Amino acid sequence: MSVIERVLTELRNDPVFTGNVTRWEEIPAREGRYADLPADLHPKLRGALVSAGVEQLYSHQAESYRAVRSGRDVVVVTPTASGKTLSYNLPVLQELLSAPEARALYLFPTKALSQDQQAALNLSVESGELGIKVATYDGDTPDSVRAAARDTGRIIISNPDMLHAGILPNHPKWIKFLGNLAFVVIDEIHTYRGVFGSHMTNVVRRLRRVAQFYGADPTFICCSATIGNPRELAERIVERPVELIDNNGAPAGAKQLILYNPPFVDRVQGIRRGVVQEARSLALRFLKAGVKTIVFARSRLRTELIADYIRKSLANVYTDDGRIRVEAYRGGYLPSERRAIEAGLRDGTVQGVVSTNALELGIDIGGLDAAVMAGFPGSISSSWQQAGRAGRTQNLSVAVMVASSAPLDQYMVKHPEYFLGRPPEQGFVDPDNLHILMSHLRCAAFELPMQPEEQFAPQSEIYLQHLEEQGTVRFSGGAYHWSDRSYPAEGVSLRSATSDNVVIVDTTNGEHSVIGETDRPSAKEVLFDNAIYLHRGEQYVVTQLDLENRKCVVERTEVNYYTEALVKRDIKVLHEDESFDAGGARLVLGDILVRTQVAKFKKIRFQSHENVGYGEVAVPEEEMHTRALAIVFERGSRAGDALQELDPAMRVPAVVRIGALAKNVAPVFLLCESSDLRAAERLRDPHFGRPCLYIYDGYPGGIGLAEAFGYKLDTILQAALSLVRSCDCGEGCPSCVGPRDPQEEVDGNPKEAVIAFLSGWLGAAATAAAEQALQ
Amino acid sequence: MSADLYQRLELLKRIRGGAAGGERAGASRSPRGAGPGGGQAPGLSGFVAAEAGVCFRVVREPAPKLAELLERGSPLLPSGFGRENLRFFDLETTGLSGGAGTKVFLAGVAFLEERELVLEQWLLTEYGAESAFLELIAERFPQDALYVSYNGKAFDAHQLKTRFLMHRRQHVLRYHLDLLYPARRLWRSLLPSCGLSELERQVLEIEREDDLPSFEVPERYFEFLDRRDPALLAPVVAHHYHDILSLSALLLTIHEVFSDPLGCLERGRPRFDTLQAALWMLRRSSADRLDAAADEGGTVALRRNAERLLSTLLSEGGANSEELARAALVLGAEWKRAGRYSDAEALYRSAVNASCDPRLAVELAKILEHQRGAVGEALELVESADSARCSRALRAELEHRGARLRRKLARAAD
Ligand SMILES: [Zn+2]
Repeated sequence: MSVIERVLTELRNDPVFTGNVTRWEEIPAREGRYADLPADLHPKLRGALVSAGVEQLYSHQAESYRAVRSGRDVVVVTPTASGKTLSYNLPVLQELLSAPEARALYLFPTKALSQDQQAALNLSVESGELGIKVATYDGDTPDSVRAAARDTGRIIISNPDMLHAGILPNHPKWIKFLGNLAFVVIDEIHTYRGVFGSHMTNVVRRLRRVAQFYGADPTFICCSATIGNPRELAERIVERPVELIDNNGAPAGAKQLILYNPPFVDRVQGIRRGVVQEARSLALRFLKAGVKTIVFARSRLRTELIADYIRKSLANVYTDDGRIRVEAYRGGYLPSERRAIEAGLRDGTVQGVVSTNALELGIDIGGLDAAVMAGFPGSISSSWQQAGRAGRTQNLSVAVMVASSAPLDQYMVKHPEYFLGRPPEQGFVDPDNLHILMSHLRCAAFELPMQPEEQFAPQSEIYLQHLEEQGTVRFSGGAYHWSDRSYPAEGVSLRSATSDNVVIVDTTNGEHSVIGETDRPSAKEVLFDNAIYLHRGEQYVVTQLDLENRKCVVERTEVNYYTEALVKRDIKVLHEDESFDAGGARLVLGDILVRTQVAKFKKIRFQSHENVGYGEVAVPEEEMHTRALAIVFERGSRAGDALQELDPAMRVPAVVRIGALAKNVAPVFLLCESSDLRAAERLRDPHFGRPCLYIYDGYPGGIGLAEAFGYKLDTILQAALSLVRSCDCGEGCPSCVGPRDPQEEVDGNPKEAVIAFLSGWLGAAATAAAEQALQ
Repeated sequence: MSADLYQRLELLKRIRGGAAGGERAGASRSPRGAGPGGGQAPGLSGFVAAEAGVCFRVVREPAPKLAELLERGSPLLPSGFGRENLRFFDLETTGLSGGAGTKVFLAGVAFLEERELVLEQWLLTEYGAESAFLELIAERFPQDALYVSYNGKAFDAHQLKTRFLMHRRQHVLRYHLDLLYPARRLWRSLLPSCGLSELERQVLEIEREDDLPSFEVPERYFEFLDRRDPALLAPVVAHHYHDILSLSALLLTIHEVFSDPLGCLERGRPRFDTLQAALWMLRRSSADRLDAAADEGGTVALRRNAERLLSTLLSEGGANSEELARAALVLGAEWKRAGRYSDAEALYRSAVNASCDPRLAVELAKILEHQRGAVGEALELVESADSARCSRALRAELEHRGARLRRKLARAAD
């Protein structure tokens, strides 16, 4: 019996443990399906593969090779550990070996994460001594090696942000590369959804346009994790027909998936044992038995806490191989630290790792046997990715999801059939979103004059004429020329998060060493003066957060508590642009200021997690100026009256849930991600003096989602009503209005209240239409 | 236009209206269908049309001093370049951020003919004519000339190369004498900035009247494209013209400093950073730069001047002790290489008294130990060196050297 089998048997025979398990699912092993190495494979490449121990391909790798060789664009759906990199490296290397000028561009979604280096590593393994030069080109690439990378790199590893702001606007420097561009690999294409994906499509449009200028028309090879619509998404991003390869031929060992709900501490008040403690004790059980384990935590703070607890509990535990080494891993560590941890996991010197979702994506950390999720990761597909981190090709593995007391977590453990049966989320993009398209049209005109008949996007000439009226392009000699002093890509960020980081400097004993970095908004929440900052098991106290100079000074310390900020969010209406009655409510479109303020922090004792004090925080508010749609429930309007008719106790819960429901439904109509949109409700809104629901864009300046939401309100609400009516749940679930939240202390059935509210709001006709849609 | 799209555009206008985002007042629609507009020269003084959308002018300025310099040669000029292949050059562009969308609209080049500077300015008056514009200036900018510029090596030359590439043409200005680098060396420590206009005022003593600030240049050009009013461009053309003239003045002044530094010191004009000048001159004349074909006399003079400059700096004071130490270290190393140990020793001795830089003590100790055999005195120096001012590496070296000297002394005593 293997170690893991022994631990699992032990757990099965432990009534205390099984008493808390809501589902124990066995996922059977999968046989591998293989194919011979392609007959036409270049002898050098064949040699490299054989010497690396690859004598056969998985069927999907062979399929991908064939499709790409015959010039088709593909999307390969690849669960973790299915030999993904070979499915693109093989056809690429084959071509690069036979066509000495050919080049390839590999795009990874992350800016700073280690995937790119990882890809380089895989390449060097898979390419052996092929003499094909691989270069990474991103924000961290020193100026001194950039020119060499451009001129001699046969494979360039980069990210969309660099392509957008660094490579494309300077394409004449890249003539040699772009003129010979044979392949573009887009890895983790499932991350390009919603607004990020809409930007990505436009970046691909620009890339194709510039490549074409230099006479190249690259083939696209996309890789995706399991999502609901991989081919559709890839076709939206590449804007060409794409062949779907989703017959995974990699073998997999059997896996046991355990949904675990921590026991009650106080049954009357419904308080359960904390997810941190429970995840730690489970991880300890695995680690002590010699099972290599990864723990996923939902925040950076939790990552450090859990790792610290585990390390302390293991301080006196020795196995045959000596001490058990456990590391924390998260964004904010220096790249060198992360590299060291990844290497330790691969070579086996690190047996346990506690990570944020940073390790959810494709970084190779070797085979692990157990994955413990400290809390539901937020989406079903994330859960499967994290669970997939445990499991090798042959052996049994285990994944445990430990639920927190959050409503969503509780719903998942209590409704395992929902968790197991729900198809993975779909991805949508809307590349012709006016704001996004205009931004990239400016960039494209900067890169090359644009002819009126060029089809950059549907009807793009109309937009060009608009830019011409603004004076940023000028029509001359049959084309629109960029005619502005600015560098448009500079002002366009593909992501919502700001890119300026705060570095964390340790000054203990007069030292001055950078130990990490973090983005500015989260710096305000974790690095305020007197905060306790946890970093790789050490405690530091923040002596000064200097936001202006993007620096945070810390000193080592030893205290028995950690700190947590109390964050307050509030919305201020800056300007009402437009107010109109539609769909039975008053709608107001305008600018709002969303302010996030950390005013206080809690000190929380380690282990017991009790609150041992408060402190003041003096950091400036984080502000986001964006566009919002306010739905105002005025008396006399259908919506206002419908709200009035509800039991007063049910009014707030109903409005809150309309927000959640809207976020669930809207992505289909607005072609965005649920997280691109934000919702906030006010029963007595200080600006409008009425109950009100704000739907706003999660992007500074807004990108038109709130407006589109307003125009499509009727459709969205009808879809919402038919969704909630047809949902099989009793009192709400994550797919409709959201699960019940015990903290709300609502007696009635909130789902019923939402149905009543929406039916009244939409009126008889619309309700009938919704009914119709159901049939 | 579909209703939906129209609505979206209306929306867009409302959102963007009043926002800053690169709008210009009075912007009007570009001429449509007319092809490259402005077939005529735009009415700028002296400009004549070369082709549709391109015009140029040629101005001659007497330049006797420059002619003289080019006849005699200069330590600034690499061998092989003289009057026939020396070009001054400067460009005006539609932006400063570079990249494929930044265009060159005014290209200026000047060269010496007899005793006159011939200054050409080539102006693009419509984007559509860029190809013709480049065709014309390719002839005026030979690839193998030596280009004298101010920050032209890093910026302008690159912009020009980009424009050519965008028109599928390779045209590269290969050789550069970018005066930014020597100018920084000579004046960075004395001036608040090393911009050309600052140098003009403080060093060249040129005062421009009604000069258009550089950052206004792109806006002027965009406005000109919209309104076709030559008056808008006149200040741009004048600004550009003066920039090129200043290049030749700057070349003369830098040449003067490097060829007659002591004279400049005596006259007090132009002021310059003596230490930096000397360091540059030493590097330029260092032995490995000498080749048989080069003008050996000029190099020897350069080196002699550098050494004189350093000696002046050391003997007449005026330098702070840090500069002094650096000068002594450089000059001492130079002399040691030439085998002039007594000179070097004297130099270090005087410097050790004036500066407490421990590196001086180390250098002096080396000479004492290896050339004079004065081990005791060397040890004394090493032990008294101020180790608090040492880098870690230097401290280790002091300790190491001290230990060795002590062993030597002990052995000698046996
Ligand atoms: Zn439901």
